[in-house]
Amino acid sequence: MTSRVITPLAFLLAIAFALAPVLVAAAPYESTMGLIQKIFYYHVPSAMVLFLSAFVCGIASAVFLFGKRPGADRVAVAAGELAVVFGLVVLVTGPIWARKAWGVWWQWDARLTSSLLLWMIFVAYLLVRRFGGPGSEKLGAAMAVFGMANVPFVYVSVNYWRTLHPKTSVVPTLAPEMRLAFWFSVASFLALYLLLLAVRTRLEHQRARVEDLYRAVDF
Amino acid sequence: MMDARTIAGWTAVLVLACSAGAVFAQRQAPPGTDARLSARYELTAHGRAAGVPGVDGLRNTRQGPGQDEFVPASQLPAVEQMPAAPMVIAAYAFVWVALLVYVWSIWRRVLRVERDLADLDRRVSAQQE
Repeated sequence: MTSRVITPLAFLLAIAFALAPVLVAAAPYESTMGLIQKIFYYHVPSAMVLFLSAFVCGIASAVFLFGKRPGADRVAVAAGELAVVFGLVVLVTGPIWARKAWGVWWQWDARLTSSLLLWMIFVAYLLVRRFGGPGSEKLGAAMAVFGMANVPFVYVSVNYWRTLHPKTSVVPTLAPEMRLAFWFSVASFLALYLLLLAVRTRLEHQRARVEDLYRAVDF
Repeated sequence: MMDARTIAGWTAVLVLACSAGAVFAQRQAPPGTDARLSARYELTAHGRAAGVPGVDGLRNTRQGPGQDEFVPASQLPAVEQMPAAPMVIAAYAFVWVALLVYVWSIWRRVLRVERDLADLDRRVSAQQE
């Protein structure tokens, strides 16, 4: 993606992220939680992007492992890093919401614990890629596939195990007045994710080019 | 590659941040679960053991009469309600700051790689000449 595409897209995203809080403020209060429920409009889209990024990282890693395509590995590294960033957003905004809604910062229930484990798998993936030395890309790719396989369990955990966390039925049954703000936030986060993924993958391509040049030219 | 001192430094920062968070969480915990109640209990127990007069009376007046029925949070006195606005602002501010810091880190890495590429191109040209 050239900078001619990235710059206008980044500008549009800045406008979207400036507009999202206005729509969130205009959305009605949830009847039992009140103002604190407004965290939902950033927390849930971040979680959606975390799941998407885990899938992108896992699928790209599988393509790298079985198809021997280095380009897929670069996409996997970019997606793995983004999974950690958006996972951090989920794991920080969730407890802030929980402190007011549940009275505790953290509860070791199925959804929260499995989300933390998912995030830690991708942190481990990045650490392996960063400090693992030669050959770590294959070990990391296997970890990413394992992390991707974890995502469906995290998603359904609220429906199968007793938990404080709301079930997956919240989004489909959202009040019509809240839908605009929510889906606008989702679209903004998805667009931001795609932009960051493109920029980060390009960075990995450039790094690979630098390494190839160092190898090819004997100084 | 990061050297051991850098890793140790970042670990220390992380530990300090976690400690600060834990202290903050402890200070914000509702009555009945925090360290202040334990401290008050210890003070009362030590006072009683040392025969200090009025310690039990002080404890009773502080706690007030027992509550034996459900009271909705919205009907609690304002002093016992947790304000939501600062928490919502903190959550949104964190998202913004985290994303901005990440974008800044990508920008720095892109600049570094572009500098390396330019340097390599210059060296290759010089070698060819």
